[in-house]
Amino acid sequence: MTTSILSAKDLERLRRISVEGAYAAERALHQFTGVGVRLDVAAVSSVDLADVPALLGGPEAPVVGIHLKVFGECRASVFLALPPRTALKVLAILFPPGAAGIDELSEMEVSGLMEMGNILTCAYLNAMSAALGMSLIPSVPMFASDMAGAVVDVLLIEQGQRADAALVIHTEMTAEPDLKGQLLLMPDPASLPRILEALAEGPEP
Amino acid sequence: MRRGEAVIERVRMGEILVREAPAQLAIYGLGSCVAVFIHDPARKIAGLAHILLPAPIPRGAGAAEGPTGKYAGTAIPAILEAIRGLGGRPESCVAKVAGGAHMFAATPSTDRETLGERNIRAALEALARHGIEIAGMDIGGSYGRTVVADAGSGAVTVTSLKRDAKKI
Repeated sequence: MTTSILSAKDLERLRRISVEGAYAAERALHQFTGVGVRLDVAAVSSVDLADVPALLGGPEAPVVGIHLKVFGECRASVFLALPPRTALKVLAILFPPGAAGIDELSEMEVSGLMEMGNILTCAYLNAMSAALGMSLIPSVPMFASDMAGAVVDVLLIEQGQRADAALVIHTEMTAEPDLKGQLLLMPDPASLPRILEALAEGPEP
Repeated sequence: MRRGEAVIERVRMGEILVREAPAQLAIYGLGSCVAVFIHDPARKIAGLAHILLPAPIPRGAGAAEGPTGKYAGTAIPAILEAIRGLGGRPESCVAKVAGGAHMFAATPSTDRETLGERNIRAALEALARHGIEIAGMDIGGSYGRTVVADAGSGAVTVTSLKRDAKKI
């Protein structure tokens, strides 16, 4: 099973659906934080598993990672990576005056970041679910703050059982002045045929 | 990347590199994956594998073939073969193992064994099958590691964001 079963046309359809997801997540994040956040779908493409950490700033880049699994008619993994600076800014917005440092987050602060990941992901998935006509049900969020390569590798191990590359829907999050983050949505290789079917039923791109 | 004089070569996920002294081999940002370093101290030849999984799933079930370094079961014999190819002796080799962490440790798991634990077990079993002695380990926990290994001395330095560096 490889990601190559998706044609360029399929990828373009999936990108358009992802853009709807990104809009929905933008609105939800604005409601949650009161801050205007932009979500841009950077790419929908097949990425060699070893190249995924580079999307997050490189394998040794420190990130705050929020991970959700997706169940339902399509299985997938969602990973939100925030640079520590961004995570601290988010906390300053949610719980003023904010956290002392990224290595000494309280339980409530970790919950706040997970909730942000949860809201973003749920809004994104709801919009995609409606567009694809398939159920996408997120798990509870999971949290880890460490080197990007280390935090993301368990997702790549799960992908790696059936493929050497992952289909990655890569969305970049930005907000003024310097909030930024990377959102990766990776359908399980075994779910690709089901996604292909759903895309085929949609309108021409 | 350079540290001192020797060039450090990066071993990417699923890869194996086998080199002679004075080479240095590194894996950056290792989580649940496992680094297996095999060293022939007499010939100063060493190999490093960045392993993702214990073994391929059975063929016909949509298994991915993948690079040799991807699985513990294939990576270890491949390193030993390459060491032999460079004039080393697999029977005099020793191994060091690092990684196999459980990064999302705050989440209760219903699995009997985490992916990291499965990888460690598979690596240790494969090393035992080939009669390779374990000279050092830094495994488990819930933090990421960067591993830099020296083909000459066989020293392996493990660094992480949250802990002091250690030599295994």
